Amino acid sequence: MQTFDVDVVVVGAGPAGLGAAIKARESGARQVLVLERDYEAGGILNQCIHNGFGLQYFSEELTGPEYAGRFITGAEKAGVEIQTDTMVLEITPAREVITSSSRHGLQKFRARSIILAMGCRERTREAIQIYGSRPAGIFSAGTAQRFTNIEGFIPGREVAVLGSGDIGLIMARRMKLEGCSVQGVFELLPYTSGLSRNVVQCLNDFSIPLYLQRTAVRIHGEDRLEGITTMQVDKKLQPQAGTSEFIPCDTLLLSVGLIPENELSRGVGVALDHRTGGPLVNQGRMTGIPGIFACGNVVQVHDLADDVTRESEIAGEAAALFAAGSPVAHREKVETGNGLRYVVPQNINIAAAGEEDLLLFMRAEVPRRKIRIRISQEGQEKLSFPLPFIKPGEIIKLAITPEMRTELTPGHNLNIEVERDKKKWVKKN
Amino acid sequence: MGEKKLICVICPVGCEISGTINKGKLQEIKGHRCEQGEEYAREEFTSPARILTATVNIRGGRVSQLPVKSSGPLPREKIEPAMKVLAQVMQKAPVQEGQVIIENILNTGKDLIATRSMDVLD
Amino acid sequence: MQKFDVIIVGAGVVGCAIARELSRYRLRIAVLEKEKEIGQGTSKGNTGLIHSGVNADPSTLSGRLNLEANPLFDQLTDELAVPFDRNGSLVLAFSSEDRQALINSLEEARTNGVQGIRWLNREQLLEKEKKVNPEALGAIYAPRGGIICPFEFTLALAQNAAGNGVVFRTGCRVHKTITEEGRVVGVETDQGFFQGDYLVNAAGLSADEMNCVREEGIRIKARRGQYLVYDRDYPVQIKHTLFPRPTPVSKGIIVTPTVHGNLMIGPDAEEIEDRSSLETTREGISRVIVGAKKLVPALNTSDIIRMFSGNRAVAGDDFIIRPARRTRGLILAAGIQSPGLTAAPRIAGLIKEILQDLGLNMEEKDDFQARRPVPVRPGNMDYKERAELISRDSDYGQIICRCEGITRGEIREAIRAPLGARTIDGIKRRTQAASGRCQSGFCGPRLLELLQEYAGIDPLQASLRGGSSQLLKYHSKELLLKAGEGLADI
Repeated sequence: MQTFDVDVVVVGAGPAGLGAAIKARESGARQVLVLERDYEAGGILNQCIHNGFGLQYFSEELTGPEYAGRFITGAEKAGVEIQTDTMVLEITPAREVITSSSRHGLQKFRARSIILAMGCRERTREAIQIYGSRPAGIFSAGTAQRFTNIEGFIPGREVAVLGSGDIGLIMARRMKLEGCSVQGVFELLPYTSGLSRNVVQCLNDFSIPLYLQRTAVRIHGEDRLEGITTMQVDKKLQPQAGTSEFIPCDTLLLSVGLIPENELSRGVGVALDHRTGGPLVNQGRMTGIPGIFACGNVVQVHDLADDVTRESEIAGEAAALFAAGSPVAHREKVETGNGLRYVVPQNINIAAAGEEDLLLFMRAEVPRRKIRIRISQEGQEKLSFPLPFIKPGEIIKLAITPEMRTELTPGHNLNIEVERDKKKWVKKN
Repeated sequence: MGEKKLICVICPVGCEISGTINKGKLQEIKGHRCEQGEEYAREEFTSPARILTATVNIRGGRVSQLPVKSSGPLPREKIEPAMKVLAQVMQKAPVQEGQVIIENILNTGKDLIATRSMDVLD
Repeated sequence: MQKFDVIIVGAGVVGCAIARELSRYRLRIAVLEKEKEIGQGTSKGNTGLIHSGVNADPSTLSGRLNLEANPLFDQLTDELAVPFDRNGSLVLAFSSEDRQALINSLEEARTNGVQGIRWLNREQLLEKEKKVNPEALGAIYAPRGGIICPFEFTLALAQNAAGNGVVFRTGCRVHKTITEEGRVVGVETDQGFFQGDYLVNAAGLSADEMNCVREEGIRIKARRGQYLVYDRDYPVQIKHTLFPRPTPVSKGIIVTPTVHGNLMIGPDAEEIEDRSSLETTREGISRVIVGAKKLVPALNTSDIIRMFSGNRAVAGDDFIIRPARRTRGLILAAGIQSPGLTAAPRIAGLIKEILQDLGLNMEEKDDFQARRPVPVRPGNMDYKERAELISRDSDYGQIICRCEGITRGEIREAIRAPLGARTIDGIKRRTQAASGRCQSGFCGPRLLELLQEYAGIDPLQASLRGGSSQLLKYHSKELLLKAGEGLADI
């Protein structure tokens, strides 16, 4: 097995990995190597042929392949090396990365720092337990997207979509455009988990019905899918007797959530946050193991590639600094309080944040209007951010400016929660 | 006289905006909370347009689909007819990102362009 | 027309074990299987246990064969290169009545020759298996109970039989047995007439679809069992196979590790009308969960990667293994319910003895090969060995299934080997590719490419498991072109 020494090894050449790699180079890392298991860089964006990418980061609207293309070109210009068709088998706590590929056999890379950017995967039928038979014709929406947009195959003619995640909404439109009939999108919850824009432009534009609080309870068909039984659910998500309806379809696309892909992280012993499914990270996106960083959907499932890019740049810079011998010191914990599913990063360092804004990502538990996000320390309110509307489908981003940080006491943990907004913007002294 | 409704997609608030239309003319917009929302609703009520994104068949590349988009928004009612047109294409690799695949599709003044490069597979 | 000494109907574990046993002799043997691949019935959907025989009743055929067959598995799995683990089983008592009944059966089992069994009190039990329900009063410990992958065992038997000259035909449904003067002369099938002197019915759930089997008064009922499989990383880890005290009709819902390292629970038992139906139901799955939680209270429904059903062929209380009474030359191996997997090698032995008694001349081959080539598994190698393998054959360097770490080389061999995979499920069962937590979300498209590359199967023909289970229906743009401008076809 050949062994190589590298400053920064990045696992995954999707938007997160490429963004981190470019930033690591720009921040002074000498050799930056990106390892990609697919035959080309770009990750999932290669199959996300729809537009809507880049509005925040590039201030223009790009398709997935275009957005990926900018980073592939950028990586080349920045002198980032990308090795495709290469799978990471193992990462050790001593920051050795062992890979397998048909071209290079087994290789070992000894890295000063490592950035995990493996992305996420889709939840399957099993994860949501739909009973019935096991016919062909049931696909995760992303798999159907790959077949349709890259391999050139259409799974079937009559399509139902279970779950209203963004990929599901986008695939509903995509199947419709390819000449399929789309029977509807069925969502267990009283609200969609995708972006409103996708509800409007993917469903409403094409008169594809959206059924809220209705889910699939049974799969029919022995060899090929013949239909699904759907039922209305109550507030406790339990199916209601007398509401079942058979929906004929030969294809069922599942868009029932994404899970950060942390097999490698777990293997090396990185501590995970059960709320995000990703590693516990600090503001530089360093995990609990010194020198191992993570960014993008492996940390938290983002809504927008633009946010992945922002996060990847944070990790890329911090990883380069670590490789150069400037690790981040002491940190405070960020605790997730009422009304929120999670906050990232889970650890911060108030004193060491420098001149930059400290960006907090968080996800709401349920949709709410007229609220404020309250940040407190030791039970004392320190900062408050009024927001007109929050919903689980759209990530909340709060920038804690250097000025705001003067309100915070170093060494004390932060608690972040959602509150009804009784007053306007409050800044406590 | 008719009333149309939409959900604003400018920001996460998702205002429900309604528009009153009389003899094809937009009379009044209600329910928006900001100017961008009003502007968005005006366009949606009068001349909704969308960027079309899709794929066309391609020969000679690593894969069989080439992603494409319209060079600008197409009137919404042209989206599905445009699919029928691009379905007839059999592009040959290599292709450069930005290359025009169909010029002036359905006389909309917009081209259909490739959104990625694709080399010839040796 | 092809002429055989013995035609075996059904390539499940019983048919394949019989084929392998008979392949030791100078005989022309054919195995006819209606499905696209072997092992697609009961043999793929069961608990995968090699029962210790602790509750086996030697006065029944199934009990006797269970007792006789258990000791054979060390040598057999070594010869066939099939992973097998005598992980030991525990039969738990939850009441003093349970305890008394189990202690009684312990004595019987000792008399029946079951080795190494002993009673564990609660402390000893909890020491052996920490997550067991602490309300258990004790358990029988049977160290010779084991686990095996039932599909791989079936495949290995078939490949070894094929290597020793047995002809296998898949996609070959038997329509009719042809007799002359009350004696079998052959069978009419999807693939024409097969002439044969002896016919062994090992057709599992379909056994009574053959005319001459129905004439024997045999009716097969399907007993469905539902199962749940957990992710390998599921925090509750169990080492032994855990049973409740068995009832007269069932061994109960068990909790067991599999040889692939997953925790599995099930089955319930429910008689169903449609024997081909493999549905899971809310009621069945909740029965399984309730039953399993009784043994291991920490179990929940998170991290489940698969729910499935398997149907067992039931014909009365016991196996039916005997010559037919009305048709000479026909031998039955019907109603092989649990513990059929365990008993299979001895069922094969019994069939051989019956054939001999009926006058079939059995002359041992001197070139019989008992061993199956060991499948190459890079994931089980150390890095040095693995690197050497890849330098010899670079296909073992490319990972196709990222969840299970399965390489292109392994999938290539699964397709190219004798009785190779022709479906997605076939690849999955042979290599474990697509059986992990993404359930083929990522590798599905790659597997279709490899089926095309190595077996010449067009992606639009590629199926999940044969029949009309094709995965993809149309080429891109095909539906649009069909709908528009009168272009009927492209």
